[in-house]
Amino acid sequence: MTCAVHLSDDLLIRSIDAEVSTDLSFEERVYAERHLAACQFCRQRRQQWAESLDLVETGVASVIPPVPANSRMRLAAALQDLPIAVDADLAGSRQLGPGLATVSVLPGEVNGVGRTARAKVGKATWWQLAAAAAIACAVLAGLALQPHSPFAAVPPSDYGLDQIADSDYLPLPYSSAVLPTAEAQVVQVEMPVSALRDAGIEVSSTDEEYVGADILLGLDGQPQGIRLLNASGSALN
Amino acid sequence: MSASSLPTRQSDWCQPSAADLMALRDVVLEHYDREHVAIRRYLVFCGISPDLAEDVIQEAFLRLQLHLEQNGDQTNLRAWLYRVARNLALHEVQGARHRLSDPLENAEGTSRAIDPAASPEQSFLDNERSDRLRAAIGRLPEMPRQCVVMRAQGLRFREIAEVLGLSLSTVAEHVQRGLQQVREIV
Repeated sequence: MTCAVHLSDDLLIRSIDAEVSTDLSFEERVYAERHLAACQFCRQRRQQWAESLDLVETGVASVIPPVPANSRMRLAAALQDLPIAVDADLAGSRQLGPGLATVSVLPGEVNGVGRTARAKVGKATWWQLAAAAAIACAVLAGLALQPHSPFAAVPPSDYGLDQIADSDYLPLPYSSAVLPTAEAQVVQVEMPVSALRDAGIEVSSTDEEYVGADILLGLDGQPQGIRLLNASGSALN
Repeated sequence: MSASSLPTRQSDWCQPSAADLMALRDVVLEHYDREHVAIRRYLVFCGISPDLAEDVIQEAFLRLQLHLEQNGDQTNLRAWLYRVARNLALHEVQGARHRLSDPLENAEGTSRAIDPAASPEQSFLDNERSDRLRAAIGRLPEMPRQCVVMRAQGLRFREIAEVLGLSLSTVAEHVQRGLQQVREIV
């Protein structure tokens, strides 16, 4: 038996393995199950999609990427060194909170990407700066449309403002409750004072059009917090 | 963890004890054992060289340790690992330290799963089929390829959406397009 109206391909694909996944909402699942029970045409289509998925699974699984023999050992050793690094002498590292200092003295055996993760302040490339500035401007410009100061409007308990007071970072409203200073990168950008003012951040100690700011980026590369700097590079806010 | 149950000041965080750190290390290594091949495979299909994939994997799991030490969100660590690995790889590629290569080139440079029980003829046919499939997947546009590879490795649509920062419907669309094209090519 078939029906006059059929399920969309999107729904059919998401309904594969629906019993073990959350790809369908409860309502969608009930709707799809009812329809599939009554419509042979949709059952066949779903079967075809499932076969295609099996094909792709076979193709993907046939690739076994090379794994260096010492990869796991190397990781275990690096993990082992991690707490030692926490206790290491942090003199000379910029005081951006305990976590960031920890990251900056991670063991240096991991090359390439490892260096990237540990190269913090002042090592940002042009595109990082541009991206951070653009994102921060966009966020602040968006916030400026709100009737109240974005930071004042958020109860401190929700965003942990008092928690980060020591490190001078203002969390951006969509960031998580706790700023991930241990996992963060910092990029320095120039922010237009007018954009900051529009967003409710008064910068009175400068006559310049732009003010330096540290943007705290989380592990996923998203800006999490902002800290304004004066001409000498120390925190303003 | 709800926001209200979070410590209010950084100093309120408890420094993990040595035993805690050992336990966390074991958790990270367990995740490594479970996920590293799949993530490498995903990176290879993204056009990342195996050497860079190794560096990315090392860094991603080190970050996982830090993430866990900081009581980071543990709702879906698999998606978290994929996202971090992807961002690290992109960072390297965009920083021009590494070039993005042809996924087919990387895929063909890797060894293939061989069924020891299969006859030589069957092995030959299986290999030929795998080559065709791999080529078909490698020829997909970037987003459908990434979505399809992640889905084939067991990630759910919501997880893929989280990794790539896309909506659920966009992911479903990419998977649909990818499967359709693979079906047509094969």
